Amino acid sequence: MSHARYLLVLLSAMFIALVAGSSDALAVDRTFAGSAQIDYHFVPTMKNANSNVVPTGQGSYTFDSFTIETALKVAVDVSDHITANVKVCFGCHGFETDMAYFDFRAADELNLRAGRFSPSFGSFNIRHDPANHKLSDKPLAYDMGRMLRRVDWKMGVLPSPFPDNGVEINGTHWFGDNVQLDYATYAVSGFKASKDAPELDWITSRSGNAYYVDNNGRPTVGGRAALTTKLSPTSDFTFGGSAMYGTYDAGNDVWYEILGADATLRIVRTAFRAEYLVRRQSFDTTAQAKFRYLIPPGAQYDYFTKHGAYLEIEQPLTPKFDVIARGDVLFRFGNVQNGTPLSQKSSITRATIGAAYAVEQNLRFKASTEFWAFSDEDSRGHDKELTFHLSAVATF
Amino acid sequence: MFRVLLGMGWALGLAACSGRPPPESITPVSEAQLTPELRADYDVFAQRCSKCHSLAKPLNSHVDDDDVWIRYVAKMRRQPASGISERDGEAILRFLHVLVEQERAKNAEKSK
Repeated sequence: MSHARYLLVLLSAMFIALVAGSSDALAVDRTFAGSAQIDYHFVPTMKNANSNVVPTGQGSYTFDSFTIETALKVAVDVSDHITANVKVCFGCHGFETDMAYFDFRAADELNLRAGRFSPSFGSFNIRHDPANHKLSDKPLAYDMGRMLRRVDWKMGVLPSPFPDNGVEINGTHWFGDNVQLDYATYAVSGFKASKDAPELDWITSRSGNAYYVDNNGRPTVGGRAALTTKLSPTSDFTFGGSAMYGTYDAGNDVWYEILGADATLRIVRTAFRAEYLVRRQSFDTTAQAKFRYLIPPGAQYDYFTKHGAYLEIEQPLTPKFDVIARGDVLFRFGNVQNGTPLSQKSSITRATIGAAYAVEQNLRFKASTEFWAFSDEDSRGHDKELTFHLSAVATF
Repeated sequence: MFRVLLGMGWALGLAACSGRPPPESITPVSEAQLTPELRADYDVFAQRCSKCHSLAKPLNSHVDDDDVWIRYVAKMRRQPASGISERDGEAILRFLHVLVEQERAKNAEKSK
């Protein structure tokens, strides 16, 4: 059966299931929620404690001082089977539409999502809203503007969130009372860049200047599966795997694939989280002079890999006070373009210790300190940095 | 660096094993109302609903209609890795019903 016919049969089955269930009472219900985080990021180990300038080769460019992340979300249950969701964020990029989609649910096991959304990948992205994680910054694998040397590293493996236009079919199924299986499979526009770019072009990928449309007419496809097991009434374990593949240039000549594995163990309120992501990305090497390392004769394409992983422990000490520790690594293996301080094997290691205090139920203060170690020295000869975050986050 | 990470891990690991931590949020239900059955339902609510978001969200939602919670808990149950089985959902709804009754009483008081 061709892909198009398979899709038609699937959609027809969903439509029949929906019509069959349409005798349920129509219920319009609206949920309005939001959050706002203001974060102060201080990097005392930089010259004049100023890391927001980009001296060539300095290598520690980041967003320091105040950054804000706000979000407003409206969810409307149009019927028992259809839900529409819109979430608008305001942050370092200005206003962005984090989600604008509808869910068309035939059963718990079969839901069609269509519109703009972050496709199901990994475990952190579900908690990416600053109200839902207790450190100020994201894990390095998912990091964006507040990671040090972000210009050199061009951010993490998969900067989160990553909203895109497309469709996703997902669902969940319980086996008895203790085992839950989730799955998702999707096709979205995908990330964009020119074929000899040193990285994916994250700005073009999300920018309205590119009309929010695909640059190559070929979707990026992917999927996720996760199994949650209840170990006891107060503990559970989740293990998941994710994958994504697509081409990123206009001619569909170069590609990226991202793989991920994640595990979360929750014992009462103590959460242990581990996640690993790897992105393998090909690039055109025709312009050999752009690259620092020798390109084998006749080779038109090469690839690099970027690996990110973290281990995190979150422990409530009192009803209002939590402590969090996280260890992060980010590796990049492969050729680099001239002018970057990165080498063929570069790495970042980061240790974070933080605390979150709930002043009231809807207002939380966060404080954390991060110790960074880089494999490559910057122009000052530094390969270590220390940073501090102070944040306030409110929800409604 | 490895030693730093190892030290942090040990410190938190010891804290995690040092005993059961108290609930994240204090329920608005008074101790007098917290019968053993309701306490058990609250424990399910607190354990499951704090997995992805703060308990402040449901506790401060001022919902005075059970149907709203029925739909909302069903939606949360379908979230990936929610860990909310049908039986858990029933316990959560029993606890939320008490909040609904409180909200109704408050609204009735205001309208007097």
